[in-house]
Amino acid sequence: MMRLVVALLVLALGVLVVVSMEAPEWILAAAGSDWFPAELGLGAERVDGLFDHTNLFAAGLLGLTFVGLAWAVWRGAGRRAGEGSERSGSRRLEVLWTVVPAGIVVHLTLAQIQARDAIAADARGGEGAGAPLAIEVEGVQFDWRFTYAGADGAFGTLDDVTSVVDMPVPVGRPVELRMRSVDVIHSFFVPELRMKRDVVPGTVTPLAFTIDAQDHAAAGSPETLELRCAELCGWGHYAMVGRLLPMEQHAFDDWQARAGAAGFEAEAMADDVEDEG
Amino acid sequence: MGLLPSTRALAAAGLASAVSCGFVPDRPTFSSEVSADTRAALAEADVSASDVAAARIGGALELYFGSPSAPGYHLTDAWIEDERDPGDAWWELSDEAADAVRDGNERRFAAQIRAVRAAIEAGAAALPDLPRPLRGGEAQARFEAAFAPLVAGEVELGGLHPDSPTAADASEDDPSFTWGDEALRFWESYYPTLEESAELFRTRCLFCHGPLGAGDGPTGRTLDPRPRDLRDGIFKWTEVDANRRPTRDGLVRLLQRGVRGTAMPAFRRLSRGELEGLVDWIRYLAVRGETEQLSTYFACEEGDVRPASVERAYGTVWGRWDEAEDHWLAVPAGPSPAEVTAEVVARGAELFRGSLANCASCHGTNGEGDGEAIWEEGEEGERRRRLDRWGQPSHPRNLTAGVFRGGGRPVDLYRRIKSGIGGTIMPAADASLTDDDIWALVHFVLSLSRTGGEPGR
Repeated sequence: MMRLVVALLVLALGVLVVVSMEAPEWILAAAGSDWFPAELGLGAERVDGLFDHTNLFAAGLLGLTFVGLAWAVWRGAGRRAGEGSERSGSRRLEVLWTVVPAGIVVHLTLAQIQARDAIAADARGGEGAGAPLAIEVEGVQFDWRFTYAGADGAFGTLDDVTSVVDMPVPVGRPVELRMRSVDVIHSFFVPELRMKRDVVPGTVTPLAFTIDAQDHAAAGSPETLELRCAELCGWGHYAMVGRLLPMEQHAFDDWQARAGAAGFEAEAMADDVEDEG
Repeated sequence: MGLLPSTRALAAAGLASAVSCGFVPDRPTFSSEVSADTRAALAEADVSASDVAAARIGGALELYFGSPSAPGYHLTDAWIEDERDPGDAWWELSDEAADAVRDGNERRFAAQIRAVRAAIEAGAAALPDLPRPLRGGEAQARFEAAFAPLVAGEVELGGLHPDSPTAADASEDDPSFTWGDEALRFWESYYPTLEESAELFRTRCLFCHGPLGAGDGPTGRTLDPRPRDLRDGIFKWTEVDANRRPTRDGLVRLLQRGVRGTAMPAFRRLSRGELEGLVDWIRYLAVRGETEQLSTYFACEEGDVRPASVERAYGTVWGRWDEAEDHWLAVPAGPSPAEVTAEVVARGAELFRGSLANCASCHGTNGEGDGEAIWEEGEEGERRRRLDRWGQPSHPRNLTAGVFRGGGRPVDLYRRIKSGIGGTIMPAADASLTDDDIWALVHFVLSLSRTGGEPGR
């Protein structure tokens, strides 16, 4: 009787754990909310799909493990020492527990490879997308700095535009980052884009993304997305937060023109405040 | 229950060992005492009873600046007449800056403003409990203290509170003005007090710049270059003529972009109000430090600390800061990118190596920062780098690296060349150099680090 109770408790625990892996997303979805931040990058839904898919397998395997555990408790815990049955050389079992996990791992690997290629293709805007906007990204303890090519589209010329912390980006246009680090390893992470990539000193790391215009509008056209450093890079790591500023192409062009011109003519001296208050 | 006593014993043992290991955290201290430099200067000079003199200067500083935990300025007669209080700098802001502060507040206090607006629209009798976001803390406390009756529902939202400072004006001009509107205005035109800015400085800047801005924070000691000693009032990356105090807007821009190639980060994510407040506090530290230095100088000259001299020092230092805006360096129009021809760059190269601009003497013929003029003979005859104002060895920038601390845009370089770098051996440009000459130098310097279309500078 005691065995059955313990076995049922184990089973109940298993159900609880498995449900807790899957349920929050369902409950939140039913409530019209989302488990994750909005999917704003092209290909972002593939990342979430891959997560859900892997999670399903993990939950299933964990469920099976709990069932086996409960069965062992129920059938085996009452026997006295030395009374257990011994088995060896069961080819059927060996094959089973080799092939099934291997099959799952191979399946998940193939799914990930496929998703990775599809995400990379999506992130470049798919076919027919316009010319990508190249941005040089520099991670430095503890800031993100950006260089834009300016109107002439070439880096290393006088009309380059630099920005720190803020990274204006046109919505719907593919963006190609060339990221480098001045000091230690940083990691470029924008949760809404489902994009995260390490920035390693001594090399240029490419990263492409496109903000989906429809998704961006559907999410209420957020004006800033947090760009976090996702690699512990020193004491100021917590404060190494940039801002990705999604904007329409014409607003981006305006910004780039203004910022470029500001490099050549000084800011106007602000007027005095004698008339105020 | 048997576990409890042993748990207690364990906790007590843990606490005891933590205490007995002798670990004392490095706590910054706030005091209105004079600095070690002042003491040394007084002791060295012909001042009778230098300890007493130091104490008198410390006392005078407390009179003029309050204590670091309760900062404020002593108001001169002229200020009282003009109704000016530099401790409340809201009235010093330009229109543009004031608008930027309001914009920033609308984002920073969006939740509070929404709540007040909703209460007004719904015609609620009292303000609802306002949301308490992390960064609203001190502003929220000030709001609740000022608007306590309104929040508690003791005063109706629609009616004007009779004690309200604007009650008289508002009812005359606009009978529909309510106390709810005033609550809204509180959030929209919120401006930090000097105390609040001091607290922000402590959380953001103290690690490097130290509790009193002496550049001696716990992290600052290990940095190269060292953090600025804010008490000197001398800043390197300014937008003004040589040897002038920086402008408000210039300091705000510096905070927003950080200093590339150093440990000074960009504080662009702070709201404009917070940045203006930090500038208030930086100015407070500088004016206080400069007043201390100048008072000490006068005391050394006069052999005693005279109240009139301290007052003169206070006025002189304020004069420097007040006239900063008059010395803002307007950058004349230079060549557009298309007009920067090989001839312009060649002209810049000629000037760079010539004797008038004389850049090459420190920066080297090819701009690699290896000129001969930075070396001098040390006290023991050794060859050493010339020192800057803060006693640090000079390292003229390697201009081929493309990292410019004061900013890498053409205008930034124009200002560096024109005004020099405060406190360092980099001088202002010779007055006989024309605007075109300086622009030619700017474009030669920029050409040194450009690789012609290839990424990877």
